[in-house]
Amino acid sequence: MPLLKVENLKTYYRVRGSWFSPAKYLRAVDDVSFELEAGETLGLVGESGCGKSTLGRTIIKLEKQSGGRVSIGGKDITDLTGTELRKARSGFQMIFQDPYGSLNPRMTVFSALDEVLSIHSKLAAPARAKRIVELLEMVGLSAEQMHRYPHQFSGGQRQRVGIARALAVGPGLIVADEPVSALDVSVQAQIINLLIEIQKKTNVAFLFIAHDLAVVEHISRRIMVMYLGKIVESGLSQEVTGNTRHPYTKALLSAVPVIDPVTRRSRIILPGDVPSPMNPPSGCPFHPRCPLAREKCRNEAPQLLPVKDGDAHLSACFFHDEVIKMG
Amino acid sequence: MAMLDVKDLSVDFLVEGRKLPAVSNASFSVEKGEILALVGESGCGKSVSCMALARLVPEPPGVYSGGSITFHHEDKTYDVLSLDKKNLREFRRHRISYIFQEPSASLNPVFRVGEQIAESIYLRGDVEDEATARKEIISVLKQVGIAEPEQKMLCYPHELSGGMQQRIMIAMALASKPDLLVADEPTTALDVTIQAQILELLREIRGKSGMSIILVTHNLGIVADMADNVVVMYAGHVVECATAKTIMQEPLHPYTRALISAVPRLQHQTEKLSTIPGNVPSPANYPGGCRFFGRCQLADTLTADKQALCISTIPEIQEKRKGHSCRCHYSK
Repeated sequence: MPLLKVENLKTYYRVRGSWFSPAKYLRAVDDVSFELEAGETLGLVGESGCGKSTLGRTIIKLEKQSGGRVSIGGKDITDLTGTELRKARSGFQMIFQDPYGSLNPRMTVFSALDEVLSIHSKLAAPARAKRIVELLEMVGLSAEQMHRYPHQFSGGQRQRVGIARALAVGPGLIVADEPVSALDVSVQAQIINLLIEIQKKTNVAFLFIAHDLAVVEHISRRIMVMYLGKIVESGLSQEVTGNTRHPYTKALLSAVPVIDPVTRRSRIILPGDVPSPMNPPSGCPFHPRCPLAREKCRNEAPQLLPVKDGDAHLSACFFHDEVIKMG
Repeated sequence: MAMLDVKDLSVDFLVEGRKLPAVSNASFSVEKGEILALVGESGCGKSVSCMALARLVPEPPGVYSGGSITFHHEDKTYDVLSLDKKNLREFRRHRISYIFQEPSASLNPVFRVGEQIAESIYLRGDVEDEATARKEIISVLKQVGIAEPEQKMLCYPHELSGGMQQRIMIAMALASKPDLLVADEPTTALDVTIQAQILELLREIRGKSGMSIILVTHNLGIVADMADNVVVMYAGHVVECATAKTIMQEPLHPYTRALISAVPRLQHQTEKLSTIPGNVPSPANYPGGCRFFGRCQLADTLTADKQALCISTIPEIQEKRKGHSCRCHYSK
């Protein structure tokens, strides 16, 4: 049984119309379904505004879903509220992008972690203190540093504190929203290695949201690519990057500047910007920017279907066979 | 003779009575039509070096405590650090333009983008009437790949997307027809597909107008893709200079090596990324010797008496091979 099961999840925001025009809906997440196993890392990539953060936040109930179901560890959490939801929260936690913004500047690391533990566990104060030291060691900080304030740490260290806070209650699932995007390259590598190491020790599952494909490919077993609120391709990492079956993924991959001149690909430059999710294009949402688009794409919306029968590699493109020949 | 020559430039900041070094003894040069990349992690002094090129570091708290910046244009020579007000203004107006990371923060939200571009055209001093200026705005907007320039010039910045705003910034920079464009992390705030568009545009502009570009970035992929030559900075020092190809394939300085191997790459199956242990030291506590000591893998392999040199003495930047210089006592 999968740890996380997401079925037809939708998050719409109502945007008020004027007196004469009716209210509109912004479809941030539009009918997304997927599963995630315990101890697995699933990468979620896409450009800004594609709905990847909203998807992550909706799953752990920081945003209200407009439809669909989410279950974690076999328990349906879609309609939980109040105390029940708070109890369930120890099963799923989040790591945020900006370690500066997500820690309270007036709380020491010790008090920040102690707060989480006193809400979610029944441990007494000395046991909590012991657990805090354990957690800090797990994320590579020393016990002497626990009475410091966030401003006394560097960006990488602060992100370590954020990770310790997410791990504190022993969750089965962590949604990591761009956890390394704000960090320098050398520090980024430290944090990625740390996340992989923690996963081996605790068997926690990560939903790893990022826009950097190389980072996502490195850390994830499977990847999902999102465009305008929909998943357009998903599959094993090597399959998605090596045997790409959606023109958008192909363009994303070709746009990543690479170091080795040997592997440099010919670049597919997409025209224009991502359309507004308020007025998504008809048919396939990617057709206005797609080099393969033709009449069918303008009229019909493609479904996310297996590339071959029974295959775990899914693509939402009518012409996914032609993608291999692109570029 | 290089167009821009920076020699032993040092910039310090006076903070609470203490002098904190931001850039120390930096030297590099830019030829006409060259793309030079300045790479390094946050706080290494790459942006301060760039701001110093037009003396844009505010004084105080900034202090230009040494070195020289020389700019040659035709038969004129500007010694930037000793220009008087009038000449400095002329230099900034005609020779150099900047684009920054966050286009929405660099554009004025209450003026239409066309008016903002017009300002840099009028400042050039050779256009007086509105009709000519308008023509030029439209042509420069076309140059940066904006469709329907007649309508787009009437937009306010908030009506445009991030990629479009960055194109407007580039248009403003181009409108003053500079010899040198300094692009400080121009694509860091943009998505990869938009980043690819903007980089392509910069390359095209260099090809057409022969403008030189200094590209400040922390992304080594962009460096490999765009730059002719590279300057690697660490903790205020220039640690390595060479052509982009040499830096990527045979880096000499242990920092450059570590930095390159810390980047995750597509379709490279590696179990563990190599990292640089520790953190970048802060300017208040720079070590007395080599500033990379303590994080350096090369130094770890040395005997204690060899390490003593790293601890006691700042290495000089030396040309180790032709056109390839490096600031390290022991790398060969």
